[in-house]
Amino acid sequence: MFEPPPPLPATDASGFLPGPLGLRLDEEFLSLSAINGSRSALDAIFPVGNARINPDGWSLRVRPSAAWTSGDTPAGEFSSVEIGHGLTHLRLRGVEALHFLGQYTCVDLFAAPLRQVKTARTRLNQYDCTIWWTNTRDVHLLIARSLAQSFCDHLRILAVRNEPGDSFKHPRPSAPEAPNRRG
Amino acid sequence: MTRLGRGGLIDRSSVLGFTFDDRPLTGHPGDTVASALLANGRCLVARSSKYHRPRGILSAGLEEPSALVTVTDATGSTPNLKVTEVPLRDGLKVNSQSAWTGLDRDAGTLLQLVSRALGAGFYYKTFIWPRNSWHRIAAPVIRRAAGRGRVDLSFDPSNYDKRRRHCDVLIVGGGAAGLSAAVTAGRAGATTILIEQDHVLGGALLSSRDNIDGLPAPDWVEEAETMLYALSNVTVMPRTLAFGHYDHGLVYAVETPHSDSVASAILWKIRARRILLAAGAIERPVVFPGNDRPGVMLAGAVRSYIRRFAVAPGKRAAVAVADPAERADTAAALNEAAIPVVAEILPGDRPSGTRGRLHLQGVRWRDATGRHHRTSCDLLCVSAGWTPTAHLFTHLGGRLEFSAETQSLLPSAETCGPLRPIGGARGVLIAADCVDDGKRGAHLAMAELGIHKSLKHGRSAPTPATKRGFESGRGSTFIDLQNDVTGADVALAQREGYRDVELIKRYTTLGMGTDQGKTSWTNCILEIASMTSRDPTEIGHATQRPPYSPVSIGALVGTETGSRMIPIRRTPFHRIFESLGCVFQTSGDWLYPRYFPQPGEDMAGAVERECAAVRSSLGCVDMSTLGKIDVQGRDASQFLSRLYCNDVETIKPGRLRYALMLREDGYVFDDGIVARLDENHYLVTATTANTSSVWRHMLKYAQVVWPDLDVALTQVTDHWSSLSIAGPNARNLLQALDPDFCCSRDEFPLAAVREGRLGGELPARVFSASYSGELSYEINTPSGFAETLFDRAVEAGAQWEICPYGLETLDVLRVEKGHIAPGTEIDGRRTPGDLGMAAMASTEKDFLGRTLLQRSALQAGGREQLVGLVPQDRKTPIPGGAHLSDQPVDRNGCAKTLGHLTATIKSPSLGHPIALAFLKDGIARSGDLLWAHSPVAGKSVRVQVTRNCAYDPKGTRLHV
Amino acid sequence: MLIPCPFCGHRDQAEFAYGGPARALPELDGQDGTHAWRTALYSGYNPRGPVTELWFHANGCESWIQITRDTVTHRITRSCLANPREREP
Repeated sequence: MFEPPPPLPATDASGFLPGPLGLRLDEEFLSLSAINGSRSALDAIFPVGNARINPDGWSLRVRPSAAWTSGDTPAGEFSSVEIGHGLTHLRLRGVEALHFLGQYTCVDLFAAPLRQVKTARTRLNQYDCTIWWTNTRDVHLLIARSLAQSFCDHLRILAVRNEPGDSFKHPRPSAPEAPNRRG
Repeated sequence: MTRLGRGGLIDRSSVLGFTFDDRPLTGHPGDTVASALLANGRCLVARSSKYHRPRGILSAGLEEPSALVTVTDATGSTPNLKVTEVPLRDGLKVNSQSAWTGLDRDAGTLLQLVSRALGAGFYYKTFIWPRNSWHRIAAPVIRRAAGRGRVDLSFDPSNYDKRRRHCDVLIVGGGAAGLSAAVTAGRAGATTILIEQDHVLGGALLSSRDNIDGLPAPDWVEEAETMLYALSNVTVMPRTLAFGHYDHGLVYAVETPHSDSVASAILWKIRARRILLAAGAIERPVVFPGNDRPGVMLAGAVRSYIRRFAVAPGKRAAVAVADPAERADTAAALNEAAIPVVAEILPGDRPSGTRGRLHLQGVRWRDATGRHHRTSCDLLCVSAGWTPTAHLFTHLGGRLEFSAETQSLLPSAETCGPLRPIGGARGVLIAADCVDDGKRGAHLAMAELGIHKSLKHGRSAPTPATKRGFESGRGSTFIDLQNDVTGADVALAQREGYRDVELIKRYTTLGMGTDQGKTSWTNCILEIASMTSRDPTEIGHATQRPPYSPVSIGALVGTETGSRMIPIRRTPFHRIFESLGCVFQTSGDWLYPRYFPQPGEDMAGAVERECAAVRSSLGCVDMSTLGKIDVQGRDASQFLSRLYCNDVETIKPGRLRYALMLREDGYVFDDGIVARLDENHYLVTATTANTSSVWRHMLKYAQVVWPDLDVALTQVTDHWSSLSIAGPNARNLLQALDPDFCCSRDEFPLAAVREGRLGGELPARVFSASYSGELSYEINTPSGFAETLFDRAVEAGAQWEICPYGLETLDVLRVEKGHIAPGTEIDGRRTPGDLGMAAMASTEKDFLGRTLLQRSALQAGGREQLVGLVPQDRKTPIPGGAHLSDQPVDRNGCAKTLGHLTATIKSPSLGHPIALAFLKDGIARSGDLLWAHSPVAGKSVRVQVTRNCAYDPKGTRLHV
Repeated sequence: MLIPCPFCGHRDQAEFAYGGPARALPELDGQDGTHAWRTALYSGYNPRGPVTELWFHANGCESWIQITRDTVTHRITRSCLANPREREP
């Protein structure tokens, strides 16, 4: 048995988006599996709403009865299905990365619950996408492979319509204990 | 030039050039087109739409009914803009519209001579009488005379965008109430957005001489603004117009950024937990004969032009202002601009007319004692009172009530959903009261959101109006200046029985158009009340709907234009097909290979060659768009058995079956393959077009209807690419790809599935299923390896002259085989029996749709059934979309239809045209001669009914 | 509208697909249930006021949820996952 060849990218994303924001969009392959199981069993391993980085990979809880992980299938009554080739993993990096995306997502990425869990599956304009981030300057996106190239083209179109952010562009909570929205 | 020497919020150090009707004029940054025109002494800027009367600038804001122009800049021209809403930019071309021969001499004014015939409802009357006059006379004349600017049909290069924003508190309007609310909310720590339609904050305070908190009003504005910019939780959005209020705190607003910005207009969808509507109030003109003459201007607008724009809008002024304080303030403003006030017309007086051809030259009136007065003047400052701007309050069903106290329509409740009107929007007109009301509104919102405790705070009362208003003399009094609706029109509507306000609006057109009656509605209500001696409170108001003011359609569309209307999906083979010169076609949202032309070849030639390759040797086609759903769990068999009408549980591991899924009502929903990978593990396919609805349907039954079944569903459509190899040499190619499983005819028969690796490393699932009618394997490999698989297939298949083929050939091959496709044959009205698949519906088990499939109408004879057709002469092509009949068409081109065609091709394999059709009692009519009539193509063809499968009906080629 | 998804929180209506009023479907037990199926599919009611209905959170957790919504005011008074086995313990 030999190793399969490296998977080919779904998009041409590698490098800076046009426009003044200085955002960088790259595709990186992520070998993901969908883990299906009962809600209670999954709750114990993949808490609701969290993107977690383990030493052995990412895990995202996407449904009451499913999670996506790039690690191994945990022990227990779970079934696992490979889905990594169907989801294109894009990284958007830059000072305004999350704020840029947040202008187009249905959900408020800066609302209190999401600010903590830092992950959401939502709609970005007409695209279905899963977003997670460790900080607002480095955002991960998962998008259906067949739509990924169109999505990258779409981000390019949006990027040229944005000005570099000035400090009055986004409302940020001012309460002393509130985390700064600028990340 | 009537520019004042000092004062105002304009930058005199820089000069902007623009043209009006091709005459070069200048203005300054800070000007609107309106103030710049006035500064150049232009007051006549438009002709009215119906009578072509000369019209000037009435107001200084969005309520402007008259002064509509076409503005042209580098991106093209925009018609029907109000001169008062366009900030002046260098190089703007402003043109008047709706004048036939020119503003000063407009031939259309002749229409005034026949104005009696053009009263309310004349338009509707031309539909009826004189007979046929509408098409021949009325429509062409009205179309030429009426209407406003012309739409620019050239390509619009502007960058539009649609964005979203979220906040705790959204404040609409940056005047006294809005600013104080924003400061209060911002300081309390709420995420706050303040939107202001103007490019500067302040609203009416910018032209006010009031003191607020001990500061002159404009200084107070500046202080508040500084405070807001220091708060990181506050966003201030100037040049942004909130135009619609929707459910659960959603406000639509359109931002028109600076001209040097990269985006030309941005549609904002702002979701707020609380909305404070501080949109202020609009001044109401006085209704009297000749009140539409250029030079008659709202008193508030006069103050704004003098104090904010440093423009003297006239040389001799008369003042007709109802409120004494406002009258004094207006006189003071005129005094600042050194404009003498020659007359004061007081409430109770009866203005009876104006004179002047293109501009006001004088006014006459009768005072309360009956004495006649007249004076010459070129500016008449009018104000009958104020109308709260509560449109956003009413968009979700909030009602307005006429208040006798304020003589205006006020919001009938304190709230409408999360929206609360404050300040002028609820009739509070005194600046200090507005500041208080803003504070109170913000505190209340904070308390409701739990940001701070609720505070006791007194509520400012709406400002009462003077008890006595102006009377009107006899003559043509214009109520709605934009639509030329006079008092006589409203009276006519009353007489003809149109008494409800909604009917009056439609019959007279009062309140229609680009200003939607912002200056005319309250006057209309008072007019009706005085005509009919009704109480104004019982008259009501016409429904106000979004948008509050016209919005650029480009902003509503955003980036979704042309090929970007819907997101396009590409298959994993897309790049490699591009390199082969493939012609693509959109099919649903997919970009799908249509055919692969060789140099100099057209589509027909390519399709013929591709078909021949598949039938004689080997072809390959991209099947990645098929939906693929992974089904696992102890009850997977049971689950699928309920969803599909076939016997699913009898499929052995490693085998697959073609299956039909029915809807609950017994009609065919979708078809596909059910492959059993393992005891409790299936992979099912759905047709490309139905993938998302099948996925949703399966999840619904798993989650909602049968939650006790243990089944896990995973969408793997995009994970697996699928290349189908078809033709007599398909097995040879599969073998050449070096699978680690045996693929002899006996070991890997038709309707089976094998999992393994190709060449020792490429993961693959191979399904032996055929759509083309030839020996065929659908090789699935994870999408990232698709190009590798294709390269190997082409390399290994070269010895059999492998030929990639596209959607056109796929369709030809399936029609030859009589296979059904969604959309054409699966059209939502067919039972399995109609499609010749009655035997697939199991009698051994219950399944979704079984019960209602037994309904007599679905089982009765005489239903349309799928059949094949061949032309009687084996030559004439059968026109697409034709209807079938057993008679030729009669003299009128009619014939009784027995069914219709669903697909028609020229079959390369059979050498003659064939078609598929639904035909009443089709199976029983096999062999009959019928007519295929196509009124569209103007052709009738004699056709013979055959079985739907025209090519290899016994299926021997599948087992070679 | 802003629809409360029990798994994802309040989300914009654009993320959801409408699934019609919630209704009980007859069992698939092989009996002739023509009347029961017809009633379930075609005898819908369309009240002015609160109605219990299904929504599919297509751009979210892909759960079918059941909400009670007032058809006049759009006030949503109740929301839960349609699958009782997936509800929070």
